[in-house]
Amino acid sequence: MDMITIENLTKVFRTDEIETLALNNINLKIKKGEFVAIMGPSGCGKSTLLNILGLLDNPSGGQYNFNNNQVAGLKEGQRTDLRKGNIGFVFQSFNLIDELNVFENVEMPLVYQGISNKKRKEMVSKVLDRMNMSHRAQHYPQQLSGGQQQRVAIARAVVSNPGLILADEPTGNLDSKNGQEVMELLTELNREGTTIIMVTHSIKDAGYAHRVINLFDGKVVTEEVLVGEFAE
Amino acid sequence: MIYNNLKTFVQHLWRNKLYSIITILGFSISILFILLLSLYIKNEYSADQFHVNKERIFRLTHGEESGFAPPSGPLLMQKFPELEDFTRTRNIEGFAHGKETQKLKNTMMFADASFLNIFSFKMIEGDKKTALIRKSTVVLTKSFALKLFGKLPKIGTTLMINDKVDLEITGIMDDVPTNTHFNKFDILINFPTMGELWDEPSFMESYQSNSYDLYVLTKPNTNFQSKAAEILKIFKEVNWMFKREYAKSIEIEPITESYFSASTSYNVKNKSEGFLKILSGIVFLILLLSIINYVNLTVAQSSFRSREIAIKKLIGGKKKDLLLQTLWESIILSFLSLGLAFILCFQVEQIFNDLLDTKLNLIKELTLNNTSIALLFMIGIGLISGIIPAIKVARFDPIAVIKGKFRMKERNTYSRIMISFQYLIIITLITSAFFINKQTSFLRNYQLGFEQENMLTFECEIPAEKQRVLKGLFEKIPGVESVSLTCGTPLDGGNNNCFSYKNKQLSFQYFAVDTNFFSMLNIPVRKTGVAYSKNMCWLNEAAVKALELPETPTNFKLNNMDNPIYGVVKDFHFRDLKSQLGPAYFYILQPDEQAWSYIIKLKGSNNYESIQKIRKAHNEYTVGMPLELEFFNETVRNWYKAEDKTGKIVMYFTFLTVIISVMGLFAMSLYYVQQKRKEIGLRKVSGAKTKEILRMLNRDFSKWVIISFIIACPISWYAMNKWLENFAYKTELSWWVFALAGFIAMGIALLTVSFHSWRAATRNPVESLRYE
Repeated sequence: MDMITIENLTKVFRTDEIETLALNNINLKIKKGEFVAIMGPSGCGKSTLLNILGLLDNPSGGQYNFNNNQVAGLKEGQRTDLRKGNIGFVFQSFNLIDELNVFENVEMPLVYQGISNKKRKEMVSKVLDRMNMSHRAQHYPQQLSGGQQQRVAIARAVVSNPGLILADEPTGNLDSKNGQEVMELLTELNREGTTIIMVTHSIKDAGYAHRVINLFDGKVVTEEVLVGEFAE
Repeated sequence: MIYNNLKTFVQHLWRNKLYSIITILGFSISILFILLLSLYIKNEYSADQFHVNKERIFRLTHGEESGFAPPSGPLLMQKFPELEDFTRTRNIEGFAHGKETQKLKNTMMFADASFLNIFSFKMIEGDKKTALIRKSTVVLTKSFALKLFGKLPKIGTTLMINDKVDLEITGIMDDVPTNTHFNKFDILINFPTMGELWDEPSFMESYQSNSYDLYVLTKPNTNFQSKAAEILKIFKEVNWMFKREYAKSIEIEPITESYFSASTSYNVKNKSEGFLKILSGIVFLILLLSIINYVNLTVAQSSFRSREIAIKKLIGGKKKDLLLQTLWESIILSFLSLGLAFILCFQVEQIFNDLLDTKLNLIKELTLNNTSIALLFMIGIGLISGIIPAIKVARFDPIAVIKGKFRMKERNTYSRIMISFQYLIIITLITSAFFINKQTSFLRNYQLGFEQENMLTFECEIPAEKQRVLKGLFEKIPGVESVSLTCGTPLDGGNNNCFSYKNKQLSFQYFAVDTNFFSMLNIPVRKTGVAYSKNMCWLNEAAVKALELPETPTNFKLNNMDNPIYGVVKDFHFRDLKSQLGPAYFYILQPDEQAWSYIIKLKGSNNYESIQKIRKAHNEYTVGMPLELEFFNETVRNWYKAEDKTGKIVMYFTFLTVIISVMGLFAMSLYYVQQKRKEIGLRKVSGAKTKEILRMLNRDFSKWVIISFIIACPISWYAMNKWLENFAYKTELSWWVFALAGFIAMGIALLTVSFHSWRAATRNPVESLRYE
């Protein structure tokens, strides 16, 4: 079943003097439970595509269907509502809040969903256990290593059991050992049914995906299926 | 979420201590000024509002004065059925004592029995309806009663005034509050008793003296104010002052307007509403500048929390949630500032009361009403200050933040104009503070032409022959060098005489002096060669000039009488330096003439002991009459108390404006440096040194301070020139004062801006270029 369907998607960035066509008639389908890697040179539109997929931005044209909802052109508030609990984000630079401890960072999406204190505690503890970070629950991000911070970021991304995780160069700031750990974590989550879309420059990391989509100048140039069951 | 939001906010404040201190301290000092000034203004405008009958009480005036003759009141009652009652008032300085108490100086207010019924002064003991009905009755104010008797005296106790008249105490009243147009008085005496004190039994029927204030209480629903023309007509028939048109009009002033009345008298204060309006304007300006600077600083600082905001947006936080978060933070900061301002208020209460000559009692002002208003006000300020940062923060593009491409937009020109405006005020205030200080020093150090060291004076109202005996007693004290009896000293300016001379109107001050006077005060006298006689006089040099006499005059005619001139006195100042030195003549104090004052010159060693002996001799001889000694040099210093206060007020406002502007400039420099981050990194990589980067960053701000300086100079010059017009003798408006003020303002600006510039200039360029 397709979780995401994009038809003729375009995105144009306009300033006073310049118009940039960041995405040019993209057509794409992503199945539920699929692990997709998006690759391409700098400036090809990968992050722009990821932002639109994550409902952080609206396309300039075309259709975007997410979980049977037409989402292109939705207002910011509507996009936020749709994003809550359905999409988790993992970034290259972790993006944890320094003033909050590990527990509080991971708990944050649940607070926005209005989940009760008791239930939140339960859910956060469970996911921290899974990430092997329970013993650091009261620590602050600046007290953790890069790998640990990224594990916390992943914990935050998955705590509300979203159907989709968007990862933007998740291993970009990590050494190879930690990077591998993170990729294995993502793979495990994917095996459990979470759809993952990952932007990466690393061919090695792309190797964990079922499918690799190559972008160039805002267009899909190639698609390579690595794992057969998700092939058309 | 509230807990998390609070936690991140508190941690953010803790981590950015300088920002937190500048914001909270800056805001609280502004609030401190606003609170104190607002309370002061509120109190001033509430003057006389406490009188129950305030709608029906009126004060009569005639132009710039308000004195009427005693029969005026009864006459009006007879002629105008609109009137329910009236009262006359007059203040006199004197002294009072009980049977076994010391004699104390005090201010006596004489008033009709109706005074306590017309005005709502609170009686603690006695019946206000009957307290002053009988002659020779008195009501004491509470603090004077306690000062004199040590406790509240019983009703019926005797009080003697000026060693002359016995009064019966018929009541005790609360002290006169500050928010009334009446001058403070210590005792309230039945009006007709004044005749007994002055040995003028017929004064109540006489139109000779017009120095009594007159108040009327009208009946309800009448229009007495329309009767002014009619009253003028009636007074013209009976009162010489109106007949000869020394008084040309009648005004009927509501009592609620008397506090700011332009009509003066001995008995009332003369407050300027213009001054209050200026203060109100200042309060508004302080508030506006504080809010603007707070907004700028908070928005600039919010970029450091951009990541937190972006993450919250990404994981489900709506614009509304972030807006509310920022508003709440602003309200919390406002309350923190208010709390600190409250604490600071109590610390500076006394200084404030001294400066503005008022008696604010902050504890009393902590009413439920005032506190609620303050709290609501701060919520309002929090909302107003927070709304712009809240909207800006809610609009942060989370994508740009996450990608490290987020930049606060550089403030446009209007913000720089705001900063310039604030520096214009700072430079003007600093210049003014310096010049006021320069002028006050100039006045204090000016040679007045008479000896001030070890010189003291006091008034003594005993009969003439007793004064001579007492003089003799003083002269026997070892520490006393010489004693003089005079009517008029260099400190009080003597008396005034206006006369016609050779078809010119002249105004002279005149003094009655003994033969010790000039030598004691080291005032040179050039003898004319005229023989000593009891009707001789001395003229000062200004008098010789005014009378167009030759350099060595021997005589001048005044009122067809010859006045042999014994000597020409070198000019000396007998008034403060606000007035030009004028003409004066001095005549010999006659043996049977009662002097106003003693002047005593001490030898200089063991002055304390000598003064104690003087007090003892006085006390024994006058049987306990109060003695108030004044040292010449202290009195001269006190002439310029008002200027000292003005200087201090200007200094405090300068301090306040500096604090507020530091907030604004701090914000501006933060924005600016953020914008320049990449450029700085590249310049450093290309070889620029730290000091070159610093110069580049500070140059832009320096330019705006220089513009402020150029505009401020003529404004300050004009303002100071205008202020100095109040003085006949003034200091120079030296150029170096302007330069110094500009230098200080530039120093403050550079210090503020350099905090961020230095950090940016010394930062590792790699950090700046990492995300580029």
